Amino acid sequence: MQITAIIRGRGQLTIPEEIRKSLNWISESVAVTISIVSDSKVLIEPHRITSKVNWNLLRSSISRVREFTGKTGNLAKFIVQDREAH
Amino acid sequence: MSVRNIIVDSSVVVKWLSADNEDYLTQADKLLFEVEKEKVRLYAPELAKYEVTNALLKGKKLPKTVVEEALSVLHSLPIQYMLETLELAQIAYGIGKELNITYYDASFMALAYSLNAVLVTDNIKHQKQTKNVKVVNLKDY
Repeated sequence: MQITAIIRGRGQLTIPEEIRKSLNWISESVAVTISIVSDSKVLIEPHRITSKVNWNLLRSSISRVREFTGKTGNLAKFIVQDREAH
Repeated sequence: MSVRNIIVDSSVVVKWLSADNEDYLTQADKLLFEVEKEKVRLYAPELAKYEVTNALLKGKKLPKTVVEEALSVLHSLPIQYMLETLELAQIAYGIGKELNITYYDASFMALAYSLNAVLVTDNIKHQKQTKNVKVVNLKDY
């Protein structure tokens, strides 16, 4: 399927309804990855963040990093106070 | 089953980097587990990276020798960091005014509004539920 569309102000492009209907992943609030393929071609794909994650490595890294000692204190509270302090 | 969009506040992201006196680590881990099972997608404003790194620098005062690994975890978490747009800025400013909260707090709520997502936070005192933004306390997740 090939459809001509116009890019509007601030680079906004509406994906035509025919294309949205043909591909069930194009819907509101879905994140997409946009890549430049060549000088005249751009690729839009559903963003699949989980496929890039090495979960075993991430879990072991989180466990190790959580044990790092520094100044003791609750960082969640630090962030709340930091926002108020600005 | 549809995948739910969740915005994580920086007060939640730090739970994956520090256990020291932090509450609700189990709930934070549950969030990551649900991402792994592709039940939820996590988003945060780009601001979260700055706030969390500042918490490591000024809050935890992590030595330089170990901070590299902590930053590596922060940048490899399955969170889609979103850049601010004019539209998001306008929404955040409006929320900040309406709730009398900081722009920082409001920017997470604005992203939740924009993506029709739930905001999960350990800062429920400031990020209050509104008619248009659903906010969940990490404690209750």
